[in-house]
Amino acid sequence: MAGSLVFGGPAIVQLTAQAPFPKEDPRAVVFADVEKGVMTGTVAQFSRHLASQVYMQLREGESGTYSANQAYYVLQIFFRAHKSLGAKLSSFGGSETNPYATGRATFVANGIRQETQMYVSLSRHGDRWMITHLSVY
Amino acid sequence: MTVSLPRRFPGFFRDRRSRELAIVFLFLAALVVSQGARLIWVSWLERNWETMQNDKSEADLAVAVQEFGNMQRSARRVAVDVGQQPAVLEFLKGVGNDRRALFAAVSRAADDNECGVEVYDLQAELAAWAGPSGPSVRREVRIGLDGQMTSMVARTPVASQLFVASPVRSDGKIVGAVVTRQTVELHYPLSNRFITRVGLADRLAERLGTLVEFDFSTDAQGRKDGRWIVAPLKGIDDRRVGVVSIMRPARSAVIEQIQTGFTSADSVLLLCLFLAAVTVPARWLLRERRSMRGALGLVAVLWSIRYLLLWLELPGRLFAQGIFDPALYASEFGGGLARSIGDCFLSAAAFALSMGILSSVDALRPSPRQTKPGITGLLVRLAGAAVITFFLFWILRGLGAVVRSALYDSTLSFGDPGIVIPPFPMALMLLTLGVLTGCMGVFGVWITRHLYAFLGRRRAAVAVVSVMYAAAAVLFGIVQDEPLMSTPFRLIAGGAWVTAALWHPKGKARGGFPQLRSTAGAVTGVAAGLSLLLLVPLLQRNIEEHARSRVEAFAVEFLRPVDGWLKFIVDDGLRQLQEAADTPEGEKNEAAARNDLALSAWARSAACREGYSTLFALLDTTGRERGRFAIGSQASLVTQFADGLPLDSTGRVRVKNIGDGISAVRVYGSTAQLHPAAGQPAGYARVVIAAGEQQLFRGDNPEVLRKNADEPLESFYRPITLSEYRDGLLLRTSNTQIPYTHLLSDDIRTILNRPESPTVWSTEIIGDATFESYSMRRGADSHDVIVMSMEQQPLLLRMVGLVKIPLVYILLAVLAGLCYVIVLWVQGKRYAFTFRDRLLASMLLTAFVPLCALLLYGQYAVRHRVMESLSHRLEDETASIAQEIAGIGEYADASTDLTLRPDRVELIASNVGTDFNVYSGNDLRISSRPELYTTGLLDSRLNGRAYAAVVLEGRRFHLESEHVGLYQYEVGYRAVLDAAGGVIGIVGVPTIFRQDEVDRELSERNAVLFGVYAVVLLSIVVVTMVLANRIAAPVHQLTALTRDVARGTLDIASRLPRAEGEIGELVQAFETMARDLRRSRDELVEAERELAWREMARQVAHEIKNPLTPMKLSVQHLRQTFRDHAPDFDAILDQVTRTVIEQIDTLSRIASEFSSFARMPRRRLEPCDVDGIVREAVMLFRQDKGIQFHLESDAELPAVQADRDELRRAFINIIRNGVQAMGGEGSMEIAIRRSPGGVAIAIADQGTGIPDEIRPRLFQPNFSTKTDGMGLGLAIVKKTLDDLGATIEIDSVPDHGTTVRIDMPAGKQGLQE
Repeated sequence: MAGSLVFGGPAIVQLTAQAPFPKEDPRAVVFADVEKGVMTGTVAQFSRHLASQVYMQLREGESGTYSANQAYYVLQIFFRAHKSLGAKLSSFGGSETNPYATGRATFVANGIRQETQMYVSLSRHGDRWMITHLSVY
Repeated sequence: MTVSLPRRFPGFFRDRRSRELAIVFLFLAALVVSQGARLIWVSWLERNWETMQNDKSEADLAVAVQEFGNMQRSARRVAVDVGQQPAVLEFLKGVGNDRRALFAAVSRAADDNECGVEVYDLQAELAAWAGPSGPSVRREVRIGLDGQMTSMVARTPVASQLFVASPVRSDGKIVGAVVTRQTVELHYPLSNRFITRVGLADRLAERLGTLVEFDFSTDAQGRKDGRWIVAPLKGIDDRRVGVVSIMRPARSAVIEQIQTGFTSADSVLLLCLFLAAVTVPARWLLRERRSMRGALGLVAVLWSIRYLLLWLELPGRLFAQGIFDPALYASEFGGGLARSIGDCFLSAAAFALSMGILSSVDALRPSPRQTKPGITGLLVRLAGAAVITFFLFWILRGLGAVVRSALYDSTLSFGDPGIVIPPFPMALMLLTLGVLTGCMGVFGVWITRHLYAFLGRRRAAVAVVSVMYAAAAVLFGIVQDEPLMSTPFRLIAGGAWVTAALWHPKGKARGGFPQLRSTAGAVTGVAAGLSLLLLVPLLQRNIEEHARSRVEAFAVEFLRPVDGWLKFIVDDGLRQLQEAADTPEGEKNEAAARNDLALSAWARSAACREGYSTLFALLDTTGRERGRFAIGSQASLVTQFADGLPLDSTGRVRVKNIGDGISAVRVYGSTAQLHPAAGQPAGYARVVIAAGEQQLFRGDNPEVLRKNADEPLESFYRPITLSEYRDGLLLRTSNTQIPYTHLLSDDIRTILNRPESPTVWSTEIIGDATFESYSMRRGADSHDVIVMSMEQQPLLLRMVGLVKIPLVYILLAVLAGLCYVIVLWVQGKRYAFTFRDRLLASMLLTAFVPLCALLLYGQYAVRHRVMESLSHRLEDETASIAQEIAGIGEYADASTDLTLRPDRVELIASNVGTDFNVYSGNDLRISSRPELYTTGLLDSRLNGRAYAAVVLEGRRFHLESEHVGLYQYEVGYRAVLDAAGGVIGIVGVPTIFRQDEVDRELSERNAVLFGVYAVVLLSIVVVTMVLANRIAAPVHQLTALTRDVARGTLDIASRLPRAEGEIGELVQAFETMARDLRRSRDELVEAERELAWREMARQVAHEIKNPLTPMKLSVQHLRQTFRDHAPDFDAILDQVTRTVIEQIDTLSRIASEFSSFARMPRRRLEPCDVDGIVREAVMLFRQDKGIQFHLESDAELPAVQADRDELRRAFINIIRNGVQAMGGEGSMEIAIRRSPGGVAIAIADQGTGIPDEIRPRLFQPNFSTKTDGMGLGLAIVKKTLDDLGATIEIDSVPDHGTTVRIDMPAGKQGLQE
């Protein structure tokens, strides 16, 4: 519990998004697959990129750490209840070992339009980039 | 003569086939009707949408208004009832002054009705209270004291509260008022895994399937746009209290709902149609199940049903939650066969049934080879056995994959020792694994038996198979990259198969697989034993490995890029504020309303879910703050950072690092312009969050303050602790067992320095504990090493964690037994409890009752001990805090207004090490956790019972159980006294942030207690079963022997059980009885034989005499005629010779029959087809046109060993008797069925029947009811059948007919030479 604020250390910095990854970059491929999958509501589009343990948070849905198999079915149920109207990953960043992307997605559930934000984080497993964190909020 | 199947069901629907066809068409028609109904409904909906929409909206609105009205009426009833309580009336009338009794009555009413209750005296002073508090009700109390009932709904920052004021009357005079309070609506849902809070709108929304909003503000108008419909809400006194808005249903949503409903119904109908359609072939296949064709057909039908369920998404479509929720478990195996726990169980059941069906196929029974193979043949057999062995262990590996999937693809905590009695999903998963491992066990035994038979000589085969299994067990461990199970486990499995395959059920032919029908209990027992043997070690291994994978997953989460994630959190917060500002509340300018808005936005945000210290603020166009909400340990820091943020509407996130080293904190903040909607004032939204290095940049708010927070990775039953090292030196750790001087081992540092090994697992012993540690570098070039550790569980806890497996098996056995008893009861039968059953039940009951009593007492003692320890702790803490407060010296006496500065509050909380509250009167004045009350999680009014105990009764300390939602926690209360002993306040220390530690301690202690008792229980069950079997075995054997004696088998001396005591005396008496019976029987047989011979001799003499007389007379007549020289001597000679020849023929026939009966012919025994022999016998009577023969026989009857001609003669004899009894007119029914151990033949005629007095003599030689014949026919039949080991019985009803029943053993059983 901090008592008073110490304005020491580095000055305020601003976070800006970095440029998208080149199209041929394996990370870009994964992000593109996720974007397309969320846009069309098709889990199979990106299910092969799901890591053995995926941390997921879904709006009005499940939240927790699931295996790739579980994540597949959980997402399938989510997309069945939430019809996608569009999705776009627009911001990219992260480190060499843990890139991420954020964006927006629009769904319709029970006739009500919902605007959500997406967060996708990857990590390296062997020679592949796998999805370890997926949030649709 | 005709031979045809009997007509059992004359008439169309009495024919089974016709009924089945009708059912198929019925379902087909239902399917067609459903499609039509869907089209018509949707079409009607499209045409009448507006009317339907209006009607539904009006109906929903009426429901919402009525529900609110019900709530008011219920609250009014409670208020009236409380007002009539004797303790309340006495106090208000001034008769009694016992406020303790008043508080007790009020508390009881509040607890029973789950609402707040307040009692006011005539001066409108609060006399007693219980339950949640709320806004001031002075005005309403005044109305109540004036004699009128009134109600109102008032808004608090977090909820809208309904209160009803009711006057209390006594003898016609008003003596006081009672107010009841109830939460109607929550302005934001703060529900998580501890607390569930749902408002009226949420409940109605779920029920009606549409959005519902209540607005109780003074000028509430409801939602104005055309998508909503609004109705006013009135109080008890008809005053307007608010409005309710219902969203009109969207056409697409309603149509989709209808389509979904019809699709589900169609799926069910399609399933029923399919089941009806396969009934006919399935029944035929069931009859043929012992043939390969029939069995494979049945298996195909079974799996087609399973895949049809998969394709139709049943039953998951109907039951989306629970065991069909993939969040609990899901695997991709088989294209969805295991996509949930329920689906996995159905697939396992189908697999087990398939195995059961295939195991009953005759052709698949192992039988030893008769011929001795040459060298080449032997080598071929060995090669074949090797291939089969490989196949078997490959399938075993598949089982390992299934068990692994049960851990890795599920969120069930199998290894949690706190779970002794598993919840239903876990129990079902364990059961599924049990079924699969049981099938694997039985399959392995079946394969092994086949190998024994395949390889020929028994002992050599066992040795060869054992060596092959051992080799395969070792090789699979070497060759496989991921063997999924250890080599010792494979060796044990192989050893179990080799041993179990040697077992033969008593009385069965060697080499035969036991039939389920006759030895179901034994096979089930073996399967259950093998299942446990395979499952427990597999599960334990995977539990350990899964725990490690969880640590690795936590590591991945830990390494998640902080900046990107926290920027995402900030952006989400801004979006929530934008959404909140778009609501009707967003139009309000009052500070309280804006604060509520900020709170509401926070509660819906990711920042709340993740538990970060946060500030949400709303600014006007000039940048002046109009509303804010701040929470968390860094609340003051985020507030100061927010104050310094520029009014930047670009949405860029700013980051500041504050401090360094261990106390370094990163603050992220951003401001965004609120996009003005119609009628909305423009302004700005601002979100700031803070994450500390010490907390590893994760939220540090307690879980109770997080929305929908799932269990964090590091807090499962094996907590994960974090440590960080730099250059081998410990920087910081959350593991209190690691000393601050601890160094990272050189081995780990060396391994991590290699580029190819960025992570490593190790085992560390620190003090008395052993830890499994996962070490990794923070970055490729970083000198920092992160170590995640989890403590190894003690052996006792691990064993306790596994007790749930046999408990599930026992539970299943009990359920199966109950189902069996219920089925018998439905069929009108009764389960016959044997002596063993009674003995077992008595012994178990004798052990269980005291065991259960001890368990209950133990549970009570554990809880009492834990609560006592907690109570002592709270006593000490409250005393310390009270002392600190009193010692500050700023409060001279009880009249001083009690206040403390926030820094003082923090200091006291830090010194004592716990959060606390201080009350003055019944109001909260000080709290070290103000967010608990700001967020509405806890009520700020002092608990009424606590007030009564501490203030009225003067107790030094009082422990109270309180709850929010379903979450229960304890609070310790103590009075703060001034120097003169006056009460200046009451300290309360809630365990709300530590309750999970208390609960875990309680559950762990209970788990050990339950686990130990469960082990004792299992041991008792096993021991009592063994003892009961041993005690009852001699009795069962004697029972079997008694039946043998009744059947005439008296040579039982060698089969008598050995026993002592009273059972031994019984056995001796039985042996004596059998011996006496044998002696008597032998004497009787001898006497009967003698009598029979005498009778036969008499009959033969009589029969011989009969023809001799006419012979003598004829010769005498001839002699006389010769002497008289009769003219017709030639004719007389001719006649006499004819007569003599006839009589000689008769004599010859008599001699032949006698010879036939007495002779023991040389039999030629061979396997005979009984059905064919009977048909041949029936064919001989084809000339009898008046007789209708109806012959039915089972397919694939076993062959009987007999002399074909002799057997045919026997059947001819019986059939002839029946034909003769019917006088040549009538019908004869012949049925040939497969029976246990052989063939059963029943020949029924419609003749005159046999009188009862004659029946005992039917099989006696020379007994006949006919005028001709020797009466030897049935005697010959009896002898023939006796020699073949068969039995014959005759049932007859005079004037109705006779039925002859013959039981013949199959094969060579029962033959006598």
